Amino acid sequence: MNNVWTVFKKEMRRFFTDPRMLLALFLPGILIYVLYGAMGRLFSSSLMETKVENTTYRIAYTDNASTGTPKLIQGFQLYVESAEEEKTNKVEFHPVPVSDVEATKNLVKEGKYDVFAVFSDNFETTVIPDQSQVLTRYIYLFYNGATPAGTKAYQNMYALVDLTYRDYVVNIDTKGQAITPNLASSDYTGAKLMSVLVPLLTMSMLFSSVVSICPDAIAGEKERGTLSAMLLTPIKRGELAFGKIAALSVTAAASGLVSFLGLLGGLPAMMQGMSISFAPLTVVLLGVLIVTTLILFVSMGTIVSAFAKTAKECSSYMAPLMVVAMAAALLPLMVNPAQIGWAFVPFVNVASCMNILITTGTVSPLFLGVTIGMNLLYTGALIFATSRMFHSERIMVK
Amino acid sequence: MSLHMEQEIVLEAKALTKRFTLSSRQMKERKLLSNSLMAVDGLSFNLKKGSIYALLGPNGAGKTTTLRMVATLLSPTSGEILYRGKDIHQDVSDYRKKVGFLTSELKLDDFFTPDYTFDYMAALYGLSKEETAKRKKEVFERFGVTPFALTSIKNLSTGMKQKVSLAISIAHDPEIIIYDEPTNGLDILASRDVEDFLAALREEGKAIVISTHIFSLVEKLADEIGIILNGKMALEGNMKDVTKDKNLETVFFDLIGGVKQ
Repeated sequence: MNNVWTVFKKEMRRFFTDPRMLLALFLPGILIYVLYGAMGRLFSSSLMETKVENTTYRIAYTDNASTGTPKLIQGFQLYVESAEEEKTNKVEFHPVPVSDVEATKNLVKEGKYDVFAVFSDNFETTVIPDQSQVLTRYIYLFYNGATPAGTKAYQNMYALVDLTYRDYVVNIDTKGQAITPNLASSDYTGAKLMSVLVPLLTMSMLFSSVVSICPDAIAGEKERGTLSAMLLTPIKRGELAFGKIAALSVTAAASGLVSFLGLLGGLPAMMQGMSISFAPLTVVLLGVLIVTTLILFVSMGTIVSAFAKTAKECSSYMAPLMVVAMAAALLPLMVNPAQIGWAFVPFVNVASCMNILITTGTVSPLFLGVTIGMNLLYTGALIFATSRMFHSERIMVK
Repeated sequence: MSLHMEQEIVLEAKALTKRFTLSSRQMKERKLLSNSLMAVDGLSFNLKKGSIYALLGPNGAGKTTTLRMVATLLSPTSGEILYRGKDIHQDVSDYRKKVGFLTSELKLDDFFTPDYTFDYMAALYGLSKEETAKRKKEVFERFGVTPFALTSIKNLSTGMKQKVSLAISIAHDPEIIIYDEPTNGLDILASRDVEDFLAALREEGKAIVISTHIFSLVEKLADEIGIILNGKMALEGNMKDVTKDKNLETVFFDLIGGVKQ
């Protein structure tokens, strides 16, 4: 154990005395924060800049919320009639029976309506006695995101939901149910876009930390000849391998923590105007998810580094792995990421978790738990394989 | 140490063989039809206390492979290496404490100081802090490392780095010293330092084996020579027996010529 500690301390000293390595380790986290914030501002300003003039907003709503016109609809009318930026615009409302919901959604898709508000029965008159029944009261907002009028009407109506039903808030499910799918073009909405971008950027930045530390750790030492010197000391090769992996993992975890904080700080900035909730448990699990993903990346990087003869060769082997990680980050776009089966597939499980979190605001603890468990399992297998490789003279001796 | 008195055998290499299995890429590079390469073929020699044994041979002759087997970096395909009559693989950890190995390929970690690198290697060899401090003071002063012991290795000259490497290779006061091409890539001054270093170690009674293709180094230092060609011992003995009053270089090229023919 003493020897593991000696190797661990040396590796840590190596990482933390090299300014280039420090930069490579902690810059991604800072970049995540800066980049996500900038992207959020960019999206937000591009949406804010959506100018709608000389237009008539066509708003459909189900006629089951109350006996009269729902307050949300009244509020939107008041807004269009009084807001300075809406002075050239008009609004028309189309109450539809609940039985026509699907047909009306199609009309939104076809551009006949800009926004369609679907209320639960007697939305404005029902008294919900306790929190467990919140799902019985809901508002869905469907909108046509392909048109500036649809986007702008949706943004304003979304804001009005909170404003109008402030007193009802505890009774409205604002997490999953009130988030509005974009019927015109499902790829176009910000949430969808971010659900792709966030995993992609996060995976690439985490991987870049690994690419910066792993090649030097073993392949670099092999190349310099310093590994041979260590292999010839009386310490067991397993101790050497474990000391190195432990140091790499701790370093990567520190880097991952910075990336996680960057993500946590940057995501709300990126998700401006969208509903995303981070329950304390989710925050913890998300942190564990990122750290375990990073450790998995490290153990992969370590095995590649052990296999490669030079740091350069190691970096070139890691490039395709990065492509695989990137492809995995994109996969949830093409499949149903919430299927539990994906939680068993490395990389895809992580990307799926992030995707689900961004699109729905929450991830099932089971999915997260399986993902984290699988990450740890794969990491353990890779560490075992690496320590076996340290015994192979064909691999370890240049 | 007198060369004429009966010297104690510290290490015996007996009929060492090393066969490598080549990848298809290596076969292509070496233009070989078989994927099996016999790098060392039945090599035997002894290392004696207070004596320098030089392995001489062209590139690819098997010198480095032989030294790596003696150092336990590689395992022989067949044959055995005995340290004081006991197979080194019976207690490899204990044997490694007795061996100091240095290769010309060794580069030190740029971000560390000689002081830290010495401490680290000494710790891996199991030296206590007190033993390390004592040994470091002794070795650094002896080889002139003390003035730059706390300087980052990246700021040292090649000669200084070589001194540090040599000092570290004997951090644990090994009984057997194995140096693979110890003067490779060094200038005249640094090479001279290495020669002096080896001579000093011999005086201390270390059993030393070096590989080189520098004749002058062998002529100056070696007590015994083994000329390896194609993995086999082509000629072995003390300097007088090997050269028979001829120039070592002439003997070597005569041998190579004979093998080529």
